Amino acid sequence: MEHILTPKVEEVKLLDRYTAKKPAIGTLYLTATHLIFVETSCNTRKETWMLHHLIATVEKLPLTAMGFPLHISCKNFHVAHFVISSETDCQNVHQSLVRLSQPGKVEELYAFLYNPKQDEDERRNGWGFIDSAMDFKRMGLPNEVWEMTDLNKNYELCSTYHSQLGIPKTASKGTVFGSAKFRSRGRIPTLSYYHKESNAAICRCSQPLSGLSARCVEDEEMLQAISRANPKSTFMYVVDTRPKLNAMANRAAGKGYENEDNYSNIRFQFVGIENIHVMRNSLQKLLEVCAMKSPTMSDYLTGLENSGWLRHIKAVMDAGVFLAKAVAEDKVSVLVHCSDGWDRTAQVCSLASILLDPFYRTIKGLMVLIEKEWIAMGHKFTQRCGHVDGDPKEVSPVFTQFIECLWNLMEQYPCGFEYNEKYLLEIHNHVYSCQFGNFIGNCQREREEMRLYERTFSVWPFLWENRHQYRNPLHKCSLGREVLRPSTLPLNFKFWCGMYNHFDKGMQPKQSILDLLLTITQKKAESEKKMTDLQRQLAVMDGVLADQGSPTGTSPEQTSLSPVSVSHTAENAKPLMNGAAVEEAEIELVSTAGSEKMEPVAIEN
Amino acid sequence: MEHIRLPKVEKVRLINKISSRRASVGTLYLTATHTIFVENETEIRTETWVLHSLVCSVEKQATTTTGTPLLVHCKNYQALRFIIPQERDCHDVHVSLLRLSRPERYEELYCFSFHANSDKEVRGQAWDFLSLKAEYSRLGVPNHLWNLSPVNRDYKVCTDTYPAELYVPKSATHPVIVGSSKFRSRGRFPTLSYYCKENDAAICRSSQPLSGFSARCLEDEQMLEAIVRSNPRSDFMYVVDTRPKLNAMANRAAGKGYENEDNYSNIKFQFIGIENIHVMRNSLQKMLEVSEAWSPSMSEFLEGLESSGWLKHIKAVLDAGIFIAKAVAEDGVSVLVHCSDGWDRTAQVCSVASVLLDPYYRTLKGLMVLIERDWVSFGHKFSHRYNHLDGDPKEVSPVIDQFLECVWQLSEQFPCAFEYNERFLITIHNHIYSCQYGNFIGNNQKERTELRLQEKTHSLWTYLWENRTDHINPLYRPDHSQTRGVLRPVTAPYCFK
Repeated sequence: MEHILTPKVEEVKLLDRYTAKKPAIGTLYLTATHLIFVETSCNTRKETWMLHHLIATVEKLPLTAMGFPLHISCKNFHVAHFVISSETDCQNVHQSLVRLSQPGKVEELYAFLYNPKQDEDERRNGWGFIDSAMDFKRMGLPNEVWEMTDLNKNYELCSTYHSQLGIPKTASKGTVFGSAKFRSRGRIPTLSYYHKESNAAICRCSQPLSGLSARCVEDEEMLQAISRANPKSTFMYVVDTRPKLNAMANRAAGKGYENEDNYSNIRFQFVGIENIHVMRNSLQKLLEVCAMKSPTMSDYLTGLENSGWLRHIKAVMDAGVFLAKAVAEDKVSVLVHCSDGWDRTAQVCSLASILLDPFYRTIKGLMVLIEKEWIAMGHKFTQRCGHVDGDPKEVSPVFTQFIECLWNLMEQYPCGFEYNEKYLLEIHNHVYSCQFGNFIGNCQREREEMRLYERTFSVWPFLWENRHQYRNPLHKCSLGREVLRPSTLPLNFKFWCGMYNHFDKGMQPKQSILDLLLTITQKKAESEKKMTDLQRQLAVMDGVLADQGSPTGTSPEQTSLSPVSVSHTAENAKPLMNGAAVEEAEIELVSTAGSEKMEPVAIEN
Repeated sequence: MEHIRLPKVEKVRLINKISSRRASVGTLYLTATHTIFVENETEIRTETWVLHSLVCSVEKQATTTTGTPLLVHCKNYQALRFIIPQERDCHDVHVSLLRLSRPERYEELYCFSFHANSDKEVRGQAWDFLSLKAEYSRLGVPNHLWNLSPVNRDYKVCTDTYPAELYVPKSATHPVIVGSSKFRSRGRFPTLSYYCKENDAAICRSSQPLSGFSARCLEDEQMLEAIVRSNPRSDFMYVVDTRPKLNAMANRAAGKGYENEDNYSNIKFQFIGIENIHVMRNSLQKMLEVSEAWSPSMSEFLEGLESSGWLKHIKAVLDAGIFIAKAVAEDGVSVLVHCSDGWDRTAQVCSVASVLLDPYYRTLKGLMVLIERDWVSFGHKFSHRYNHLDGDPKEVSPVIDQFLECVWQLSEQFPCAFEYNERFLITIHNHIYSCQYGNFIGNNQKERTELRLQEKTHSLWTYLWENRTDHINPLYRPDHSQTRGVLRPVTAPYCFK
């Protein structure tokens, strides 16, 4: 690679972030995709890998007695403090990393190099694994009031939306196009979630171009159509997730919010989530708190408070709870927007969906939700995550906040989710890593233009294959049906050590409940498998004994050989013994193991 | 009971603290021992029982259109808000509860009227369930370095706040003990709290020396020397004063104070800076205000938590415990711990160190023994601190609450290291205040003997042991590598909840 000036630096020190322990000494390698630090000071070979694209900042600090310090902080909150003895080496590493971590073009991203040894078919199937359109079917669409439209198939209606949109049946083409003209960037009100039980829906859009007094009949009709699609309610909520002041300021720029007098039967509401710039600064402050070497309790709590981070998390959560309550309890439809409807709106809608629908609390459900609310509806991943060198003002931890809200929910409902904390961290990691194509590009249209589906792989099948790691051993489906009603009192929000201090091993609890439970579940599954195997052997052998009556006294050798013979004899029953059916078959075997040992064999014959 | 003015009030509303949406309507009963609220609206009969001795404050608020609110706060942090339709009824309940919740004599306490279904013999056996003698012999004493001293047998020679059986270095003679005792606040001379069999290092505890600005006491110096010598592998010991330096200095003016390193040979002196009972009481008060705020914003909550200082104090206690555990386990050095009287901070710090050092104290029985040894036997003033009888409010302080919270924080960091669960800690906490059992009545062993508690009341420990299935931590893994040895918790502020 032309950007790597020095591929290898020896005698590099890696300082521990908190403790005053002796620094680790090792060799630093720069590869085309990763920075690798191999520790040589200890006997066990310890390696630290950092993907270039995950690096947020590389900083050369003033010279110290130990050498030239290089401070690297990553987008997944991994922080490394290297000290390099030679200035030229440090300079070279710094320069290379600055270039490598900020690709100028999308094509330089890791996803375009990454090849997990899959052929074209597998790649195509992988991209088809999660289909957000299928989710609308699951919700019961199309039905008598909602339909899927392809008015946006060439992205002419709205360039940042997906091609498939859910709209009320009563909204005519004219209404839809008229409304698009009156909404920021043409982002018309479209269906996000339909609640079968109450017929209420969550819709999302961008702000109206209402300015100080403008009106648009089509837009008013559009809202009326959404409201009427829920026959049980006489009104709908319109939720503007911005603070009122911000929304008012937008009016001066010809944008703004809905006037209750112009739209019939709406109840308008501000929610007051701050904008991306406030969030970016808040995270910055939070990370400064994390970076304090040995803060007192006061420093820490004051810092946490000053950062405002948990306040923002609470605001997002409060908004989600409001939506879920309106839909499930009051059975009222809600239209949500912020300014462009791709940041706060995505946060709030997806959170409300999780509260309302247990499907999104499953491993696959969360994939669908992210695909539907974030990817398909044009959350600007490339810009918000800073995938390529661009405007730093566009970067903001919007998705991180959503994941953190989800984590806080999981802390309140430890049995309510199929997935565990690792799953959230893994998804968060992949959003920033660009190893897979899913989170590259700012909208569907861009992704199609980049031909991502032909050139990169999808992360979802990869996560699905490893799903055993992401399972929550405490998950109880029986609890699942209900709508979650979390408490949003401040004491229910915690600082997420697992996210912000994930790589500071000293800060992690030394005993992880999750790891322990996962090992127990795995062991249990293994011994259960062994048990059923043995039971099956027993049943089959008894059958064999009864049928032929020849091999009486089984020697130890014969016993050890028996699995082979079992697989032969059981061949007829193969469909029964395959895949998902295995469990039922095993149960059957167990239940018949007592009096009617012959039965399984009889079925085979 | 003569104090109950009104045994029954109907149509009372009970308002939930968090979700104010729904109030339940029911009947309020006052019995000799409990306030009982029976909800009679719903199909299922829900009852709320509040023990009188758990009530910490009763407040009558201004009458509103719906009735007169009565706010009941409990020592176990339960808060109830009743609304009584008639102002006169509310007044009667208020007055009755005020009297009932503040017994004036020990005999009025619940434990003297509480009869578990067990006969006399079983009761007696129950009190023998835990034996401190067995605990010390588990630790390996008496041995060639430490022996049992009969000096305090009648609670006379030294101090009435110490137990009758005390372990001292073998080389400490009777005159040395008596002399040292005279030089220590309330006669609480240095004595053994925990002994580490593996390396002979010990944790000892005492009260502050009466050193003033320059006083010395040869016997006290000999006593400390004897403790150093009873750890043959180390040539010095730590003396840990758990108070902030300023407080200790102030005590010098009153003829008390701390050890001068120049007078005692082979000691390393160290302040740790845990605040006194008054600071802790106020800190708790502030924290409760934060947690009771109706709907605080995130800022109010975090600012309130910070300014209450509560977590700072918990961290200080834990840090002190870690310092001692490290000295004993890693450096093999004995430690003498004291504060002012050596019955509050000293008890906290010694018991936290024991939990860190010895896996036994992370078992159900181990924690019972630990509380029995470091708190009950060494004269932690339960009746004063937890306001069992109507007394000086300045003596009240959540000292053992803090210890239990430290254990809880540890169990959050080491979820597989503890045989007991959170419920066990909460139940113990509850009964320290409830006075249902005799274990925590009185301020020291002498008082308890005089009250003849073992004959008249029941022991909590057997009750807990019989119900141990409720208190077991399902994740307990005694063989886990992090569980077996010394716990080394992180005390960065992020780790406190």
